[in-house]
Amino acid sequence: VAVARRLVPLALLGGLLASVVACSAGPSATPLPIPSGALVLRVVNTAFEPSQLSMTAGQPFTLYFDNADNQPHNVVILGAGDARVFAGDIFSGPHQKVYDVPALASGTYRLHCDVHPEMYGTITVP
Amino acid sequence: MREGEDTMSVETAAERARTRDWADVALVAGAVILTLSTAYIHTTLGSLLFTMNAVGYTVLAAALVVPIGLAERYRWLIRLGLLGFVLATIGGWILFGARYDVAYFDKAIEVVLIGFLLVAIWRMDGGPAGVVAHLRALPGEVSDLLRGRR
Repeated sequence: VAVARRLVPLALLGGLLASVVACSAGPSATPLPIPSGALVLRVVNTAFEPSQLSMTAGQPFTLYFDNADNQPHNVVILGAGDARVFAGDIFSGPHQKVYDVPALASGTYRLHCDVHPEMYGTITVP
Repeated sequence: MREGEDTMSVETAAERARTRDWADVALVAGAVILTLSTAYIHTTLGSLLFTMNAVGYTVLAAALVVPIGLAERYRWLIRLGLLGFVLATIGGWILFGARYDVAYFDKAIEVVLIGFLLVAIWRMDGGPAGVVAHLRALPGEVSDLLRGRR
């Protein structure tokens, strides 16, 4: 029993690790086409690319959000006082989503990821 | 009659001990599986903080079962440390974490892990009173260890 007490958890640990490795590889999907006129924002290596965007004031726009990482990300547009003007879904990449973003008033907005608060970007609306 | 009763009592005690052993094995195995599951989820999230969290969970999961004398002796402290680590992780998520499906699933795993750890501490370490006794004896034991007495 003493030997089993040691071996059973170790065997289960090994089995779990093996199944985790087996399940890690996911299927690759065809990228979503970029709509014409869409603002393209990518996430690569836990960073927004480009990190600085500009938009026309008072015009709703289409945002093509491309999460190229294997990790979960989303895009949140924060206004004055970190008010959430827009928030996209959190999803793992590589995957893309297209959003209709409401019109923004003039000002500078911050791009934010809820999972990785260290990610930083800005949208300037002149 | 007396002799028969004694034999029966010894058999029942042995049976209880076996059941307790297997229940303990199941508890430890469950805690290890849950700990490694949440460690794996944290490895998929990227960023240094999540990676460090995954490393912490993996080290503690290994420490729960590694057949080394020192680890076996201080298994109660490892269980307590893992409990604190899980609570700190959940606390951090409540304060700063993103609310989405994977996070909720991970927190569910961690809550079940807390349950496993509490039962394990209750059964194997004598519950809160046993843990307090262990903690009181710890400074002396560490001192003895450092002096090479044990």
